[in-house]
Amino acid sequence: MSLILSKASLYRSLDIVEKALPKESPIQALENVLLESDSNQLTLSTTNLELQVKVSLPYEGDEPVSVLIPAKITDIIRFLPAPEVKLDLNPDNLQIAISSGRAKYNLFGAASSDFPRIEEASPSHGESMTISSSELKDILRTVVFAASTEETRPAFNGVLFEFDAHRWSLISSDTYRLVFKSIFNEAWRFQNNRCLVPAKALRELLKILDQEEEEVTLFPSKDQLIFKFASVYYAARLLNEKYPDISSVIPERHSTRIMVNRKEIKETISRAALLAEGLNNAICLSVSDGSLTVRVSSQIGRMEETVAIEHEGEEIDLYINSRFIMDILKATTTEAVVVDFHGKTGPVIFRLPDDEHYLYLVLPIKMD
Amino acid sequence: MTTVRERRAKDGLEILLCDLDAFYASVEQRDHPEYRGKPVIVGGSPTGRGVVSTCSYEARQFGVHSAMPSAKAKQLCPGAIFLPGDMARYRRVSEQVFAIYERFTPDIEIVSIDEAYLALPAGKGLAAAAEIHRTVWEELNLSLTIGVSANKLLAKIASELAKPDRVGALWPEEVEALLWPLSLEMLPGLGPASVQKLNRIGITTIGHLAAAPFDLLQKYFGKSALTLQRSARGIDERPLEPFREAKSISEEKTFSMDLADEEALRAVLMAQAESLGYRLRSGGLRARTVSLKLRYADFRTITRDRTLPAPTDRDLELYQTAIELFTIHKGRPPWRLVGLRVSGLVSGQQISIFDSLPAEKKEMELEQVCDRLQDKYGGAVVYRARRLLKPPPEID
Repeated sequence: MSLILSKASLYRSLDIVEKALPKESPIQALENVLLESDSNQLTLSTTNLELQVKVSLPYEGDEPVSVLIPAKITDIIRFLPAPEVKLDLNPDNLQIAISSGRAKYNLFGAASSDFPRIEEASPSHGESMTISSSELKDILRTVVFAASTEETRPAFNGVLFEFDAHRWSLISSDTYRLVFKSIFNEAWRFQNNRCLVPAKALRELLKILDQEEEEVTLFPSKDQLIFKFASVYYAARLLNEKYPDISSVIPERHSTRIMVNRKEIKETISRAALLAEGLNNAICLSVSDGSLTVRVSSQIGRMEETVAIEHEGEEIDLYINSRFIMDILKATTTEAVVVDFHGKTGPVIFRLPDDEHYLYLVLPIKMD
Repeated sequence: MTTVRERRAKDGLEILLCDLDAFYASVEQRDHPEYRGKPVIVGGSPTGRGVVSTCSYEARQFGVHSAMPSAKAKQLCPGAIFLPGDMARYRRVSEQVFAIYERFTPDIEIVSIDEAYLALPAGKGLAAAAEIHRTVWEELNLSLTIGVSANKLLAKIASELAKPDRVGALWPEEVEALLWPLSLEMLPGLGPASVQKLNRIGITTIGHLAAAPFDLLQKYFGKSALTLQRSARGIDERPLEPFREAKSISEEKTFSMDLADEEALRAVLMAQAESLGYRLRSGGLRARTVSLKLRYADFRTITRDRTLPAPTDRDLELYQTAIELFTIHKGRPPWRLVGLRVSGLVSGQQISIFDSLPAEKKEMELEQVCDRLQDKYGGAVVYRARRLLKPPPEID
């Protein structure tokens, strides 16, 4: 097999499959990139058993190949000097010759028999949804950050996807805060279905979703959730954990509602966060007649700053983790945010004025 | 027209500085009638290099004061009764006094073993002070001086002016008449060096300092000029600081006879976990790290830590962590000592969505009931049955 590829497109493909490449694996074959070809396409695949990624590249040739290439290939391609790369595979000894400009490599490939086959799934009963990559990116960016990265409660390492008729809902939480988001689209048709998608897989997905507009097709299949876009097949194995019912955490009535300029409050909180310390990063928020006062008192010192707001309902003051607030203010782009309070120990709920199907709930810190 | 007092009432608080008079010496005189009316000096021995920690008012008449070398105090007052002091006893008495303060307000900043700031709603300060003064005398037979004002600085000065054994107020509107004529030494936070510096530029009273041109003060005192002049004008915006975090809390038991029964040792750990949990909860604290200390029969002592995923104040979580550590490090019985320590303390409890789940709620309510019983009757009234297993002999 011999072919010439553009360095840029090969590097981009390898960069994508690298997301599922384990650094270390008990199955040595998995520490490689699987290169395969059939008559009209060349595919690169990786898997860490939780995530499977496959990218196809255009190819014209007749001999089918299947070989494992060392993971180092990504860096090798990245640092090649010329815009084009020539790959030659010797089927007898599985060596791959790479040349580009004056750079020449000879990599030792391996037989692919130990590598698990990736059978591409397709949606059953047409149960899939299509969404633009930019919209998917926006949704995931405002949801995934709230999922836990600690391993103590595995269910919270996942983002709960719920499909119901024309609605797709996402719930993400680390037990101290949670995001609830839903999207409605007439064109989508689902049976009632729930799946718990590892937040890690979604974080990696966010990195590879292209800036360019492209359609992403998304569907559940057995124990996986599949994303297909452009030449990428991205399959995340679902978490087999019970996600608790969190509906009771979201109160129906607020006691205080404020609306505040997002950029202004973001700057204030980031200044306050400089003094907030300890595990809780606690700061104090006080709402009274037309203003929100942010206070922090720590061993280093104190700070206080007041921001103008629109305010209805009771006056309130409570303690809250500044990092949790920064997360939402960074992940969103609206001009203003609405914040609902539910008493001193009740949740604080952030809403976006232009999206009634999004909410971010943070539980406060109890000081007694 | 609103009066000054009414305006102050609108914005909030009155501050009390409660200062126990000659505390250590008073405790000694109270507990030993034979010392009463005599000069009592608690501190280092007059034959050594120690200093006076506290002296009774009788001793002060001889010119003795705290921080003076004990040897010099002996020269000034040869008939004084010198005592080494019993900190554990003073601390217990101090806790009893602070418990009285807590009946009047939850907002307390403990400055030291014998001094605390209390915040009360405006208009209630003086009456509360009089009541506290009376209660401490009636219940504990100790005298104290209380300064009352609108801020910490003036409350402190008020107590200095009133002492001993009295309640005194110094209101902001009285600053000009009462504070300004005083010499600079009366202003808290102003050391002898600063006083000398001020005297040299012609400032000898607090009133002079309040009226001095700011530029002049800035030239001599730089950044602190502003605070200095504001103090002289009776202005102080420092809030009460009720949270003074301890670094760790621990419990330890040495057995009078080496303990070989693992079940009995677990019972001790349960008691320690319950006690630490109680102390954490009553301080509004949670701990991130649990450490187990074990001393084996050969005196080898180990301490092993475990960091929790989230800080806790729950008895069972502390106990379970202790047991996990014990299981790994128990070595060979018997054991001489077992201790449990919690550290990485955080004040404030991040509420979790699980706090509203039924099972968690039940355990928390149980702990709250036990805590209330313990508050009311002292000691562990209700405890987990694990502790009933063969209570071991112990040395405290």
